[in-house]
Amino acid sequence: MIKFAYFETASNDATMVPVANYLGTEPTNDVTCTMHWKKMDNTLDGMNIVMNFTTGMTTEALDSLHSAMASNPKDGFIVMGDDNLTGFTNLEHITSVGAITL
Amino acid sequence: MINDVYLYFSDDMTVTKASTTTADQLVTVADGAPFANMPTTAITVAQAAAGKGWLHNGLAKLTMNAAHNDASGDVHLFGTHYGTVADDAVVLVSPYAISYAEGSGDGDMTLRTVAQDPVYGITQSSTAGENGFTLTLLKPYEPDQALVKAASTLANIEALDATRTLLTFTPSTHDTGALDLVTFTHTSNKNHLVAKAIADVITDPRNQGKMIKFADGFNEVYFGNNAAGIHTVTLAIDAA
Repeated sequence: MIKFAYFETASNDATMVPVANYLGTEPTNDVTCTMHWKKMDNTLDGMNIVMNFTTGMTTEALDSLHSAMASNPKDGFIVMGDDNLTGFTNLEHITSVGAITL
Repeated sequence: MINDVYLYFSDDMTVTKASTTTADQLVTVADGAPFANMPTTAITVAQAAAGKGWLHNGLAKLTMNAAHNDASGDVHLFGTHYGTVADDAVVLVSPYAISYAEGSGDGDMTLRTVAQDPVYGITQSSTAGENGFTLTLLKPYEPDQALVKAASTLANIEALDATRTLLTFTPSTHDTGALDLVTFTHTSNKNHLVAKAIADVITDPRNQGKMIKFADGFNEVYFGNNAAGIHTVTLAIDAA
């Protein structure tokens, strides 16, 4: 089964990407990190998803994000963050989904 | 089910930065390694008192370099939290006493005085030169300080010389011609052990679907028994 990661911002920007397209993550500052994915149009380019976390919790947030991506839900659908879904509980230390740049 | 291994690397950078010295309760740290851009998030007095903010969350710690407590006229005053402080002692400043705002090219921490906070407060010396502080980074938080890569993006492992091994990854930008590079410095002629350790960590089924801290140079923690003797980690994200 292929796994997919799903992200949705408070401003109704959303994307679902195959986890196999994941390239890497690095911290940006004390409250954000950027997750990089292969470009959806299959060109040699990338797409970025900024994830916001509790200030100062860099390594904890990285752990949390990658634990989620490594999980194995039966339907292969992993919600990394959904700022529009009432009642959705963020991953530990994650506060919201930031900018999605396709 | 597709399971990748996520490899975590962090730089073994120098983690301390000295402050300016003033006598007005202000501790200013200029932008510069390892705080290339001082944290952006402000900490109000109320947040500090409530146990919130990046200082409480363990991103960094502030220490006074040498307490001035020799019964002269310009001594530091300490809240009850600090107990009896010896002259010239290094003092860890409680985050409950520190509010913060990013400045232009620096970060400004304001200490509560003992009059304002009898428990955690510190009143600076009236002699500016006595008020030296050091901000110590406790976690990586900026680009090129830490990096997580999917093991499936590993393109090559190459011996640069007897003591350096280079890991090349598909760049996070996925741009043509760019690469994410991780360089290890290690015991001489142990390049093969670096390569073997990487191969082991990726192929061990127990590691699939996890983030593995392969080379946490920041905390000097390395995967397994570190047979290669890795002691320096350098990151170059999206390098040419």
